[in-house]
Amino acid sequence: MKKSFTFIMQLLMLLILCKLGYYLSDHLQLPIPGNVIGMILLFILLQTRILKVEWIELTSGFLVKHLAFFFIPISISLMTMGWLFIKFGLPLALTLGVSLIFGFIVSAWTVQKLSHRGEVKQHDNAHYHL
Amino acid sequence: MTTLITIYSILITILAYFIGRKIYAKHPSPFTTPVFFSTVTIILVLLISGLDFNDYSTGKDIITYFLGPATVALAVPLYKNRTIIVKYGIPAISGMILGLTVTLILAFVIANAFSLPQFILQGLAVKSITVPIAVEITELYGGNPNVSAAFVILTGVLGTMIAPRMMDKLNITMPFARGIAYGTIAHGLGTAQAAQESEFTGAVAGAAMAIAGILISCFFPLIDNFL
Repeated sequence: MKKSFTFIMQLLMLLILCKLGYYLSDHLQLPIPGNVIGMILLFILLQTRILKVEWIELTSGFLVKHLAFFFIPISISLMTMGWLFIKFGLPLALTLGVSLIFGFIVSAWTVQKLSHRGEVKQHDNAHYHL
Repeated sequence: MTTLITIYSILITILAYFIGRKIYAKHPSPFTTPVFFSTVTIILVLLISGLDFNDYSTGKDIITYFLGPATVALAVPLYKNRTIIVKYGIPAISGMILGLTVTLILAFVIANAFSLPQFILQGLAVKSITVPIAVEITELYGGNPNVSAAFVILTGVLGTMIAPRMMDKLNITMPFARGIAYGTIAHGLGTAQAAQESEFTGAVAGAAMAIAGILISCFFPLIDNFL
């Protein structure tokens, strides 16, 4: 009971930060979406210790853990996009597939190589904890 | 009746997701990744129940409403891992910028080679960042948010299906590097996949997704010039 109350209060806090983000994005005419501003605001609040991470952790942890869930309804909307794939199916599949594969390789490989270069000699095993 | 259909839509979504997670934990394969499995199952259930996407859309709006606070919540993994992200800041940001640049340039080059129309290019520009941010950017710059969302989802689903085995084969074993790639290229779905590998990988992916979203938001005017 107490846990669900905490969960709802934390959810409200996240919703308020999100709304505030949209408000700031609109009124200051920032090129950044409101939800990202909300995220930056929360980060600043945590970093300046105005907000303790324990006060927001329960709901945040839950939402981040089940983030994939919130995408399912959007992917159901693919059922209305049949025309797009009938018209551009093969080129689109190639475009998305090839760009994805090389993006992944370049990104992961760059991080792995650059982190090893600096670390590997001094602390032989340090990077295995990463 | 509409309320009943909405409740039904939400319930089948939750049920499909939890069954999907259970199956994936037991039999991990590209075709049992929770989002792919749930999407196929829900579409089939809707068709069998004689419902179409319009009937499902109220339920969809309710669930996706929480993507806003869920995006804000990403500040928490970002905050918790700030020390390690700052320590490996240069490798991380280099990997993210190079990865995003390569994936976007390749997408534009291939799309241009097939002379795909402008609205597709606009959708491709945001394909690697999380849906709520991608949709917002597309709306700000006057594109088609549905097309963007479709590309983002396809990228995420493909990413979780292809990337784990591909990185294993290429000997990319460092959880930090894998996390950055998952979050940068395959956003929320990649982050969910990363979290299955380890809590740390998931946290890094969450942070990378957040930073990738901020990077693309900030540099979109520049990217828009190439469209």
